[in-house]
Amino acid sequence: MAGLSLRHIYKRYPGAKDPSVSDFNLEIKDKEFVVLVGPSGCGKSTTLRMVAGLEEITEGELYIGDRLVNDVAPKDRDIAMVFQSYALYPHMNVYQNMAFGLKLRKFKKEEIDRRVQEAAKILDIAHLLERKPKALSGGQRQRVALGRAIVREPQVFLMDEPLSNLDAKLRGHMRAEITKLAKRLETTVIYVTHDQVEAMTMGDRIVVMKDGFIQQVDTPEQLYNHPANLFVAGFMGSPTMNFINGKLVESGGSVSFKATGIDIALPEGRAKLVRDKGYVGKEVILGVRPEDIHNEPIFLEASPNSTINAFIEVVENLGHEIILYLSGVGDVTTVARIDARNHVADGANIKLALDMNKIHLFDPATELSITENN
Amino acid sequence: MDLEQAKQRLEQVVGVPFRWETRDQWKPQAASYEDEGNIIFRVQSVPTGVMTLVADAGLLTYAERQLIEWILEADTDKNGVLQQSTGTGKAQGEEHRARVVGEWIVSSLEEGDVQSPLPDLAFLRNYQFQSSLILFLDTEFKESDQFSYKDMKKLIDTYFESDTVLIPLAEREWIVLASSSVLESASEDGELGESDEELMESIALALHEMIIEWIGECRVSTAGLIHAPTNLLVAVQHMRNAIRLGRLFHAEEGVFLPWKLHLERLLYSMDDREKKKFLEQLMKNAEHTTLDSEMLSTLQTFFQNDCNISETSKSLYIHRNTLLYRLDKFKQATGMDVRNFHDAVLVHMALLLYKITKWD
Repeated sequence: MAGLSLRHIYKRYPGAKDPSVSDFNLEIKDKEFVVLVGPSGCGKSTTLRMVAGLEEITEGELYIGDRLVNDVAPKDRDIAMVFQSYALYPHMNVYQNMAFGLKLRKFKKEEIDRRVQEAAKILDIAHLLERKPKALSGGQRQRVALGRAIVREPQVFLMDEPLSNLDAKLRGHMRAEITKLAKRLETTVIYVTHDQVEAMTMGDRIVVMKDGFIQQVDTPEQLYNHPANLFVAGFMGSPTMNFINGKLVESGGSVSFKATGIDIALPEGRAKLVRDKGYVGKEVILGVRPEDIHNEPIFLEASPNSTINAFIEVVENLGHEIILYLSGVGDVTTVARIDARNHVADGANIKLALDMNKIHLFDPATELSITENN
Repeated sequence: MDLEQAKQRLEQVVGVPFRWETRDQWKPQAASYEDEGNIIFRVQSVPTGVMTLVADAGLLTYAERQLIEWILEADTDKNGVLQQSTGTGKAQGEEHRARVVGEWIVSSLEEGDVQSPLPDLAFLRNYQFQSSLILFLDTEFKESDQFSYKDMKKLIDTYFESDTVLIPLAEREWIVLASSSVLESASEDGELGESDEELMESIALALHEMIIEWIGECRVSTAGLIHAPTNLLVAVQHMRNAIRLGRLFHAEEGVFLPWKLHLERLLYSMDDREKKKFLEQLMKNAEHTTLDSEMLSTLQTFFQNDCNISETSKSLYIHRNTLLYRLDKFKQATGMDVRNFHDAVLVHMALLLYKITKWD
């Protein structure tokens, strides 16, 4: 196993106005599970393909372990890839599919057999070894594709949306399987997904990308609770964070955030921060996650300076929680996530309070977080 | 064994004197021909032309001539140098034979003669052209010291789990002929009623992925099974055309199948003025910004998913309402609703033309 070092990597396609990947800098530790996440076209797959050797690196250096691999062929990089398409070799059975790479590398038959049997056992497909790909279900095919990668015992696993062809239930199951597998094999994994739930649940660290640039690299928890900018804040979490355009106003020794239907005081720590950074009197964007808007009486009582009155447009009861779509706060719909034991109905008014220790403030021009140290 | 030694050995065995002659070029599609009472055998290409061995026609029997042809073809390496029949020699002889066939294919296609008969070369009689699955590889990489014919052959043989015929064409093009049994293997245990075309596609897709992983970027086509040597040139032409059309219309894909490119072929054959006129008429109400990259990929995915809203939104990872909003936006801009079959056909054609026509 090995770590990776991506140093100032760029990818420019001929004729394209902007680079697809710009100044990508990342140190990946040995045995780390790193997830690249972002919307379509953000450069995450291109980055992975450069690591794999399937795309040329226009500029920058890529190290796997201590070896500079910019000009090393894919087959010599000691990596194994699992793609979304996982085109298994249709004329070979599962055993032959898994053994193929080893056979080409002239491994001894006994060694091939040992590795295939072991991987099949890990993936619970030992009973399928004689079957052809056409006779397998989607989940089983995915396991074979993983098996093909595992038998290679590579330094690094690269996975590009490996679960997106599976249905939601199987995807959830395979997500946990892959995480378990990575821990068991003690291997380095770079995993590409558009799905922030996969990113949050699988990665030791997450790299959020947009327009070819890294937006933030951090642990799932840090990324969720301390987003560096508006994009990361909005991308991670479902339902997404609420954003309310408003102004910071100082009066009577305290700083308040004011917008349509909302006038709330910032806690002293945050007030000091925005004063120090010179944001008082300026337009800002307030970000608050749906779960940080509360309606419990005890919370309302304890937070007299952060209450809002809203009108319930829609109630979505998901069984374990209720999602409220609200109007009257800011200029767009606000979403709140409350306990399922509440009895609420649409078309009514509701009093809520924001957890002011969990709010975020963003600069509307730079879109950077004001409340995080950056 | 060097050339002079080989000539002397030949003279000893046959009892006939031979002489060396260099000719400007080698036109006949055969390993030897008769000219002014002499039989001329092709030995190898040299910078000044083609080196030949010449003997008096009256001194050689038909069988001796055939035998000499066979020796010259079977035991020459890629440079045409005679060698001993070792294992390596056999492999190199095979490579040489493949290159001869490749050269013939290229020159026949250049001359536009797809009905040209196979050259009358002795070794071709053993070539398995019949009932073979034929594939065409168009690679981004060239043969080099790091990657030789031998490497490619080994990879392809391992993939098909049998001895295949690998013919290099131009610098980055290859023909693969594999036993048709590969289709039977792929269909085993499978659902009933699946057409061979789907099996061929799955074989081509997996081959494409395998080559990318092991060597580098490439594009793959297949013309399916060829049943007679005479189909070879036509098949190669079809596959070459498919790759050309595929690169133009679907640059992001890697496998192009002739039977899936009918509409593209039809549109490509249109006169340039007609193409432009069609686009202009269809998109007359639209601003250029209507077809931004997001809208293009949305419409393409919508057509790939047979105009199915749920499947398309799933493929694009967007909410169905977002998709409906985009389709409405397109309708507002162009007056065409792609949820309607007639409009969908026109927009699909317009999108294809958009890729190959400068629209201003």
